[in-house]
Amino acid sequence: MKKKLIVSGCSFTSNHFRSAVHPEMDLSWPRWPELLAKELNMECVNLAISGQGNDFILGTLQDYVLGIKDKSEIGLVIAAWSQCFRLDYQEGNKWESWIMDQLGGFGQFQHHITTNEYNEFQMRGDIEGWVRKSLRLYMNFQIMCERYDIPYLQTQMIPLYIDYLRGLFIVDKKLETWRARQQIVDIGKADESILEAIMEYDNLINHDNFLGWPISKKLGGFSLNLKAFKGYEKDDEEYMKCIISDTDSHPNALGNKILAKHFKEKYEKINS
Amino acid sequence: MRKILLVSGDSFTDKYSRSAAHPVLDCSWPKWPELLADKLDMDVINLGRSGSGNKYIYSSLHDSLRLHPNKMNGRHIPSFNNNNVGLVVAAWSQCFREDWQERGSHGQWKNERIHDRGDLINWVRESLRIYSNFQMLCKNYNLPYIHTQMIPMYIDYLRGITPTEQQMIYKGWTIEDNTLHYPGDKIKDREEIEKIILEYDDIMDNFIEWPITRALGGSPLNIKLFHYQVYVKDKYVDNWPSDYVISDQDGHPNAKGHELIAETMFKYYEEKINS
Repeated sequence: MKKKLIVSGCSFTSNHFRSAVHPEMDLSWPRWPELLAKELNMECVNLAISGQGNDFILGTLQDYVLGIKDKSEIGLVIAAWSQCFRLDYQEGNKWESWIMDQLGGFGQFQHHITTNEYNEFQMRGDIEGWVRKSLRLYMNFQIMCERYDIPYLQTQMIPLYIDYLRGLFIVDKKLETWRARQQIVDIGKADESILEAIMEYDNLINHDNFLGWPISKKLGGFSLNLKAFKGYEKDDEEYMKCIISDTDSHPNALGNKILAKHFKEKYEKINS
Repeated sequence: MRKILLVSGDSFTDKYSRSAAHPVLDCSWPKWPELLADKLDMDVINLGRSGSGNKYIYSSLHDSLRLHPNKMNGRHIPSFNNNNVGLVVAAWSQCFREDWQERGSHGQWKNERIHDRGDLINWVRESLRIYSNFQMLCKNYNLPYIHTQMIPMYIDYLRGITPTEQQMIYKGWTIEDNTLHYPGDKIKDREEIEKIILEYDDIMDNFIEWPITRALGGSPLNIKLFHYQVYVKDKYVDNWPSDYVISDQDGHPNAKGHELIAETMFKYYEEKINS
């Protein structure tokens, strides 16, 4: 029996991702989890759903892993972390994402733009608190896998917080850009505090198993999407080859192959 | 050098807890963490905070063990080494409370009485995940630990959220007129919740009165200790308010109640952890 490759993440990992910008586009290329499972000769269990945040990612992995009695069935678990300012919650048997919920899904997006219901875009806490919350989730994931002696990898698939500091775009760049929050008076200061919070975890996170730690370019780490598709030295032309379009930065077929390659290399490195 | 007893919880644990129903009441009696520390001959670090939910309880313990902040919520935390921790105790609260953290060094924690998103069944799931994370955290450091459901996790939400003591006394709200009634099917959802709790039956350990509800053979600790029945003439009747709580308007433990909690924890520690 093949061992299981269990992954969770956001739209960069989901099998069912659809492009909001190009709704008619055929996106049926294989995603990185399937490509990686094939390379590792494992059975792929992909729990990822578009729009989700880090609570969802840990919650789905934890439920799945703890539900497997014989942990030796698990070959590898991967958490592909998302943005810290997303809020996930469960209703009935499904997970909802705060962002998807607030925008009413892509179909109702225009409604929210035209009626200026921006004040609904509220969440308790602030960016520093959400970063700390995500870092705890990363540790919880690591502790769980080490506790049960399960091979694992984690990565910051897309930037944890920087888009929030810069001001969030609402889904489609063609639409009006909206700076989502006005709380941040001093972006530089907030960034500095966040970097300090990340570095508090530097001697706690297992660097060998975290692709791109310490997750920020300023600290010598990276978000995998930026590293894999563009790097910090390569030109934009290289980057464009890996993403869907200039208005949709999700990975295309080549992008997914490159992501799978990065995970495979890291997996082989920790197993060598 | 004395070992450290590291504790977190809500108002049942908070050293500085005050009675909302009786604001002028002197509540400066020793709380159970301090009493337990005396019995164990340890020094206590009490992170308990009134109004907090399970996310705060876990996060405060996590951060203390991982990051060793010297302050949390404006209260000083003495420095300690994890090798010197003798026991960690999580006294869990209601699952429908919401906790979040705001900026500043190790951030100020805030809370609300009820989550504004999701539903009860899934708040139960969220809390159970937190409980298992607590166990894994302690096991990761090889630290002795105990946890307990200090007050009922979900039943008050199913029964309907009644006004707070403050709202009743100062605003004149009544249970009849101002209770927030449960929006779902109580019986069906209670059965569903009990099933979910039992999914964690072979995961939980060192848990006083697991599986947290009387319907499954466990109990919230306050119910077990304070809300007991007595045999009067030919039948059992509720002995409420019992000798262990502040009053019929405030079910928090009084001095005697804190003694009883500490004694119960100590007994469990001696029998199950230290044996």
